[in-house]
Amino acid sequence: MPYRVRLNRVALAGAVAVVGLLGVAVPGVAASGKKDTLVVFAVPDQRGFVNNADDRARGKGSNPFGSYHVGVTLPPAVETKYGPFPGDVGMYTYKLYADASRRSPAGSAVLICQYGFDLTGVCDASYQFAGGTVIGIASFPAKAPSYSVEITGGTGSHIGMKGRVNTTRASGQSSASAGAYAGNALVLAPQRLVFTLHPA
Amino acid sequence: MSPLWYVKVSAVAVLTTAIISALALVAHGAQLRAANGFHYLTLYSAVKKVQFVDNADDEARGYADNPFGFRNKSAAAAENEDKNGPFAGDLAFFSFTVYSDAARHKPVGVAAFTCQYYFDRNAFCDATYELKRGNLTAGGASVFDANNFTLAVTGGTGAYVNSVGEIDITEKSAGNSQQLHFVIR
Repeated sequence: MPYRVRLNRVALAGAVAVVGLLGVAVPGVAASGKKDTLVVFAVPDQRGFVNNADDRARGKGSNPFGSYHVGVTLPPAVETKYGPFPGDVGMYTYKLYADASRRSPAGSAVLICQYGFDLTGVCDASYQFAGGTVIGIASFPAKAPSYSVEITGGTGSHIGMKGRVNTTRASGQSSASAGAYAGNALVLAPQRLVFTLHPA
Repeated sequence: MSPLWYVKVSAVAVLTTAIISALALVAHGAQLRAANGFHYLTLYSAVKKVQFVDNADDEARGYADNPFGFRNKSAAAAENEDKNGPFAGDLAFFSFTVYSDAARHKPVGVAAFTCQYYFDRNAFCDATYELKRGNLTAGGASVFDANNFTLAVTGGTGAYVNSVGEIDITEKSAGNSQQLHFVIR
């Protein structure tokens, strides 16, 4: 293929990609008050876990609330089998794509989960697109097959947005994790995100 | 005509498209704000107290001992907090005095940030602003050494009940202070 033709096609593809990316970035443009729906695919990028076992143990005898009684029988403190435990923190980042085949990058996301009792985490979520960011909160058990993030706000072209992100496992995908949640940890699996946004 | 000319023209074409698209996005954003009743408020803040929580031991424990079965190979290296931190799992707490003037003579409230650091020195921060007419809550991601970042306003009390919008925060050069540009309704 002639060099000039190749370059022109590359330039054209680059221009289309830029415009396309910006197009994906403005799903929340709803000055009319209508709801916007956007489907995005998330691929796990980085993950981390803060195991606060020693701080939990210290807090049992030394805390400003006095000698409290837990009131329930707790499982053995074996993180790999029975965790996460209250006080643990999970951090998960994702790359976002506008298509299931992951050819069109759409942005990035982060989920930070503060775990409490019954394996349930309260998670801060942030979805970063080219035109702005959408943030929200979710609460779900570590083994949940799906979860919803309640959108609490946005910036840029998503300013003032509320709504929800329904998160499920992307079809045909399984979690790469082992341990207690082998195959079940949605936070470590490729996901399908359905955003439903509306102005507050 | 040399191929280099074509490279330059193509690069200019791509750059021009990107700039036009970005400007259109900014213009549309401004239009959206005006059409939807957002108004602007500029305040200033200065850091009052800072507390950093270095969770290195808990982070190290979590690298291998976690219920999800993953192992963070890259995290096993020794962490130099002074040089390369903050690291995933660290926390930082900030309190601020909020002023109505850039010279910071007129206090109008206080603010508090709780920032949970994750990867690449990014943090998710929860913020509250306690002002004379009510409180505002906000949140969002920021980079550790960024001079500017934006938080989404998530709610409020008093005069700010049901508020939405954003806060654009810019670090000022002197005195650990920030300019806060609120766009809210």
